[in-house]
Amino acid sequence: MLVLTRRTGESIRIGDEVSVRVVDIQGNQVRLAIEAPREIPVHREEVYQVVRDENVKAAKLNPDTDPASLWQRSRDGRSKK
Amino acid sequence: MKQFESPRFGSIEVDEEQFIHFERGLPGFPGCHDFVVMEHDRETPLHWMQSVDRPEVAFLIVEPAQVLSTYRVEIPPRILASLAWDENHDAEQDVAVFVILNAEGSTLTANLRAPVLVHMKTRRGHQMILDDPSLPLRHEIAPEPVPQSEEPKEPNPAAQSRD
Repeated sequence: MLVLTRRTGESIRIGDEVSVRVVDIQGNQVRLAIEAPREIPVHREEVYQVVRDENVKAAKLNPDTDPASLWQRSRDGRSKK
Repeated sequence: MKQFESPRFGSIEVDEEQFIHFERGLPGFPGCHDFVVMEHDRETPLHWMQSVDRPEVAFLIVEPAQVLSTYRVEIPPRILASLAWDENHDAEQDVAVFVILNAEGSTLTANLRAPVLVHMKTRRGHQMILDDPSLPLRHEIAPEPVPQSEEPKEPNPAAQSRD
């Protein structure tokens, strides 16, 4: 892992197309301005991780699961007590 | 034509033109670039988004209006532009929105935080992570208070099996 020190207003560049600039530092919070090509998604790490984990779970839906009956039970409320 | 074996659906034969292409895959599945969308059945609005690259990967999806009638997605221009051919083809109405479903026991949930966008003309797709933390990753599917249309569905000839 590469660790760099930057001051407010300074940037780092990742490859040719991505630039991350330190806009403001307040206590333990840093505001960053990210410039990246539009096809490169930029997310907060923790948000990306929960979406990734949810995708992994969704893709492993038990093959015995019958989605149609689950759907119909959910929609007409019969699964509710 | 491309043929592959899916553990859930068996042998699938599909025209490459039907693929939905995800340039960068989906979070957790960066190598899954091409998917085919298939109806689950004719009785429910459920669809499958089946990976071509990894046949063991398939997502159960549905249009969000089926889950939450008030759900709206605003697509930022940069994402719209990445789905379209160019700025002359960035009409938002060409973009279909789906949400991925998940099952926890007998409870179905929908991921409202990260909908899947599909541009119907370019056939490019993208899973967008919305910036609104109030949108749940697991929205429980519940009975819809609005009455559903009771019109009988016409058989879809395109959905007939190929074998």
